[in-house]
Amino acid sequence: MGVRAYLWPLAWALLFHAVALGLFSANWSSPPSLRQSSTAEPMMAELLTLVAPAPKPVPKPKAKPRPAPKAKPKPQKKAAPAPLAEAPAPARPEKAAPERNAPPAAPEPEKPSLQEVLGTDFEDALAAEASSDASDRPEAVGSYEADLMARIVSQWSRPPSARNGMSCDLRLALVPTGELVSVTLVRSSGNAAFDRSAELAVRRAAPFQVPEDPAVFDAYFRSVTVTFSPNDLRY
Amino acid sequence: MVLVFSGRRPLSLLLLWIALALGASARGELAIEITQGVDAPVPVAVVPFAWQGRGRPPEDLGKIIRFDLARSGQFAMTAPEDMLSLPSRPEELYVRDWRVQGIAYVLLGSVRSTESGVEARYALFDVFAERLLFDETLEAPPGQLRALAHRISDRAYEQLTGIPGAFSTRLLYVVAQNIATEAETFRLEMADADGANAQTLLKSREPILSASWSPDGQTVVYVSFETGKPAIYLQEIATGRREKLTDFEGLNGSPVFSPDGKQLALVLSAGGNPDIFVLDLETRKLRQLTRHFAIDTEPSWTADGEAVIFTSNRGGGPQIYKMNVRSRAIERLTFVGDYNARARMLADGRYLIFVHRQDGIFHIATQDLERGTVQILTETSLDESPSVAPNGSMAIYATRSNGRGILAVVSIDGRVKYRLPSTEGDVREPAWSPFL
Repeated sequence: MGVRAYLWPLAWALLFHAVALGLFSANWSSPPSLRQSSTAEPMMAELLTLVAPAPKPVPKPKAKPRPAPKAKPKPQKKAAPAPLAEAPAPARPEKAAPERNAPPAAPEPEKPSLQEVLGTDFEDALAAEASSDASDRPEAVGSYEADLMARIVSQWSRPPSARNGMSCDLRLALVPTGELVSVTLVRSSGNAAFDRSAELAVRRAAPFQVPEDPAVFDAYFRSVTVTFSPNDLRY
Repeated sequence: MVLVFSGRRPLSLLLLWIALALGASARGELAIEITQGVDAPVPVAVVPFAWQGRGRPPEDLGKIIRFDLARSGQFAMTAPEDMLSLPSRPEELYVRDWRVQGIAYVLLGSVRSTESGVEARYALFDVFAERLLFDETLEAPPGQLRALAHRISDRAYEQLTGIPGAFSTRLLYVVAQNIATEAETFRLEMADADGANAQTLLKSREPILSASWSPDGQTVVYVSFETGKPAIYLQEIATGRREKLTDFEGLNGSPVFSPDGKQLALVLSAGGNPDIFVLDLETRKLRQLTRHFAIDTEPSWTADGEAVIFTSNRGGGPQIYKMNVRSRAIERLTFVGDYNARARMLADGRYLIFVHRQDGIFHIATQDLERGTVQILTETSLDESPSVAPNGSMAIYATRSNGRGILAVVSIDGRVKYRLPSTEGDVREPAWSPFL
């Protein structure tokens, strides 16, 4: 488990630096597009499904956050501005046609560069890690996250001693069936009744809907930290 | 596993370093912030207490506790007939029985008679966390089963809400009967916070007004017209011994103890018009606090005893003012509406509760002294005399229903309301005791 805990962070850092190196070795021509593409990415996927019913784009982010596809988008954009079929995200709507061509094209520019820099040993690590990068995570994560939040909110009854500004953190350990294995108070609000109300909300909200994909589950839902900090109380 | 990376290439080593440095922040786990909730009543079950004694138990402890907790509005109580099992000891509790019904907490226990009285063993269980929150025993003299039940309610309430329970407190109020007839009578009564165990402290043919408690809950002060004109009396609850404090010409009204119990703020009109005075109970010296041609009345103290708040019409209509007892610096507190009166400051010093008139109707309202916002708590009309429970969670006030005066309770946030079971006659001027 200890090794595992280091794996993603490590891989993430490796990827990051690999990309940076890649950028420097290739010529880094259009920096502004980097930011845009990463923030706009989720939208792009949606547009794809709307414009082109092509099955590819959808499965990619949702069902199979397979290492390879995931890792690609980011490096692609950065490492090789020119071939970017997907980076054009900024240029939103009318990208149906180019997009379809893109996927096949994408894998190629990227893998080689990564391998060159890091060696194949890192590939698995990189791949696994890619899915845990927040800006790059599968869009499905967002909806499961929203569902989890909504369930907890709907079960949270604050005691009358609760005040805006109180805050506690709970760590939830989940299993792939969505069941709650344990709740740990990792930071107390200082008000035991408040902390207990948060814990009760979580326990009553369980079980949760979680992604079926084991990789996505492991990356985002095996351990979830929830901060309870009300801002809607009377005072 | 990590070591595998290190020997490969110089670059790997560098990356490893950085990876280790970034390790903590780079974890992909989800972090969620919850800033809202629903604040629905939490489902709680109070299992009927087992009775280990001869005959039938004189009181149903579970029922008293259930009624206490239900009145707080914080909990949704499960009826005993809906319970799948009736454990009386923690060891007998099957979590599943309660979990299937979504019950969050179970309070259970038993009572047995001892040589000196009764003893209750009671426990509070957190169903979802499968954890015992407490398992305690408490003794009481014979005949004190209700008091015992209220103590258990206090414990459970505090455990679950983070606020001390005020179920073991008492109420003072005046009952008027046969008003405006030959047989008109007034009684000063004291009852448990749930309205039970009413006892009469004073009976009179003339009006009784403005009863309030000493901070230790042993003594009461009130205004009685028994001599034909108003006078302020002090009465020891346990002995019934009483003493006349003031009977000046004109008004002698609204006595209230300072938080340290050593002084009394009151209203006298001996100087011509009503002003606020402070009476030192040890030296019996009287000191005039306000000196104004307007009417100053209905004093009460801030929790620190530094200031007295009162109603005055010095600005035209009745509004609430605050005067520092030493410096006599005065400050107007209320500005919303043209009628604000009979104010009490909450212990936190932030909220004022008072009678507020809106569109010709008298409501109980609070004002946030930091923000100035006024919140109307009650929808009834002719609401008067709010008095706050010592835990600051509820206020009791007098209102009218079907032409009769009754007592009602509202939570300070306005969400929870209930009426006290009314006795015969017109009930008015409630005063909630301190913690006893």
